Amino acid sequence: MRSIRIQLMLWCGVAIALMLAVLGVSLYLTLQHSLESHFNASLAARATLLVDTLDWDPHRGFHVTSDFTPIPDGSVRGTPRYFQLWNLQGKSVLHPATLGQRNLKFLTPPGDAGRFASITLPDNLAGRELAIRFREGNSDDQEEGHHDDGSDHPGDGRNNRGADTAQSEHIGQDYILAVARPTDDLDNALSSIAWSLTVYCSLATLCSAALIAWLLNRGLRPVNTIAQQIAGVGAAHLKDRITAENIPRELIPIVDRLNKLLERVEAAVLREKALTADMAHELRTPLAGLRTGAELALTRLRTSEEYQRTLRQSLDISIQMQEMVENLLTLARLDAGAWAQAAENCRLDQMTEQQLKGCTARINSRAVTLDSSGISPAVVKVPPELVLLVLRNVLDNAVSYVNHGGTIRVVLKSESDAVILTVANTGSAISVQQSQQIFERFWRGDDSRTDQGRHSGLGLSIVQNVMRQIGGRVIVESAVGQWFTIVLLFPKHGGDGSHDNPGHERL
Amino acid sequence: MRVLVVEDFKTLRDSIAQALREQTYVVNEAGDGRLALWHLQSGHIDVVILDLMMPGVDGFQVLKAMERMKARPAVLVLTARDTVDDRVKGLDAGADDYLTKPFALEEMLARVRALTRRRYKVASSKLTIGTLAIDLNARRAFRAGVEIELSAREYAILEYLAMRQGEIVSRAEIWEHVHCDDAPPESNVVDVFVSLLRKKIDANSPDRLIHTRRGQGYMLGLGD
Repeated sequence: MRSIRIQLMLWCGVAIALMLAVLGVSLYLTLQHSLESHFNASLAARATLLVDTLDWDPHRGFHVTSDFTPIPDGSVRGTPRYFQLWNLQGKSVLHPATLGQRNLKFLTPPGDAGRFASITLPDNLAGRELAIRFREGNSDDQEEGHHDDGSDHPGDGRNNRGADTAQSEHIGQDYILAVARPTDDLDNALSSIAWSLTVYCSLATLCSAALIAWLLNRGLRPVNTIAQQIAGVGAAHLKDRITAENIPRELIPIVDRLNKLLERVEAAVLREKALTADMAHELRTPLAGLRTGAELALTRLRTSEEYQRTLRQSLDISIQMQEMVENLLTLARLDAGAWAQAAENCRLDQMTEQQLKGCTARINSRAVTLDSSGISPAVVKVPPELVLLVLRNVLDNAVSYVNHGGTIRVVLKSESDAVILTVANTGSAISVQQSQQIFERFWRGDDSRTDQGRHSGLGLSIVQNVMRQIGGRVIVESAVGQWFTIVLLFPKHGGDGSHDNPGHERL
Repeated sequence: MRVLVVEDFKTLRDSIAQALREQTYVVNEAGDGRLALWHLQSGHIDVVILDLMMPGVDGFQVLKAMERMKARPAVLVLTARDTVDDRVKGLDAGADDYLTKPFALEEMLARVRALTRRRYKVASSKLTIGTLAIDLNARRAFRAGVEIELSAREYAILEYLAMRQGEIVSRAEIWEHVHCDDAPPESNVVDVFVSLLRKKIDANSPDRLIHTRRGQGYMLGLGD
């Protein structure tokens, strides 16, 4: 089972953690870049200063003339601890005592730019080294630069003669100066930044998670309320509707739909209740008639005529009840979709005429004119038993309710997509409004629900049920004192009986 | 006693009516609510046996219409609906008693007897007036412990007078509540039956119980 709450919490949490992580990492990288640039710049400044303070004489070779003078911003102070000077061939020309036996890394910088590298310092500290290339007497000293171009230089004159050759060799030579500094301060700063960022981001993530959980609880409260209300709706409280106040806009359609569903459920349950009550009435009343008649006959000795009358009444009631029970069983079977018979090609015209023959006696006894000239050949593919059920009920209805001396007209037409059977009788007692109720179970048009009539009020319910089951339709038209017409539309194709179960009204 | 049977199932209605007539009730029959209301207008109905589910005007509508009646008859509702809800609804609508179909004839008759007593505010099924005792259930009368042989009609008149003991009962009222062979009300058939009854009741007894009020009717009771 998927919980919205847990999913939302999970995804919000992941999103926030991810966001904070990206923010933290980018902040760290920015700081790192800035600190390293600063470090590099200070290294470069040291190298430049060092170049200025380097001096050469033929006796001592390269040497540092003085300690650095403090610079106002205080960033560089004193002679760097680690530096080394090479000529281009990689021969170390100045190796300060601080390096001991070890050397800095010999790097060849590309062009005028310096080259940085991370190294391990002689005392095993992590450090960073900058190697720059400079030209003695040209790059670090203006006067020496002039001297390079001209031949007489006052400084040279002051120098020892024996060093002349060495000096001329030295001037204009390219050297590589490497300056190094331990990076432990930088590393410490960076790691403390990383640590702080991790802690703060984690804390922020936790706080957001708590906040999200609280907000979700708050936001989902209406859902819980609605769930409780739905749980409270039972068979006994079908009138209840979901009335959550302050429901969020997103839930309004759901609540509306649920209330509509409840309305339909209530209507269905009420319909079912009414049907049960009707059924109880329809079955118990004739039973009461049977019982009371028999008990009355037995209260004293009676004449044979009286006994005969009681028996006749009992027989009539039994026949009536038998028909009703048959019809109820038919409806129950139709409702359950338990009509297993397969569809066959049925000659509807022949079946109709056959059924009409069965009614001849009743038609004649009421002086009714039968007009069956409109029956033309038609074939439908339906289960024959179901068609017979429909024909029997529709024709029986017409014969029963036609006025004395009236007319029954039966028309059968085969159209392109449907076969249409129309059964009409004169003398209708059904008004236009009543024709909507006609398919309700136990409804009778003659206002004589249980009076001796042989009609259970189920026939047309069966007709409607069957027509739905075979994918057809039934339409009724009626006006008091005029024609009562039932139109049956049989589908020509696809009447496979697999339509939605008609007994269970869709909610 | 006059009973109105309102039931749309004719076979059942006929059986109930016949059973009541055989118990000397005067019976009116109605197949629907409209006819029932028409009968009720006469004002002489003691008990109504009422089916609730009828086409047209149903039992509930009849009960509602009866609420406005002055001398309202007792109502025994007869229905196929048997759930508690249905019973409550029926009783709330003004029914005095409730019987579910199908029912035992004996039970129905007993309930009609009980409702009749209630209609005339008689608490016990045994009535005593002086030395006269009437067993309403067994439909027998005794004077000083000796049973009096009465015809069905004589008993009916005695029962009606006894139910209203101490009151002056007019001839017309007796005619309305006791079956009198379809004789017209202006005939002296009631006087004939009452004098026959008086002979049997008061014959061997010093104090008379049935008194004649000239121009008004009869009264059953002790002395004047």
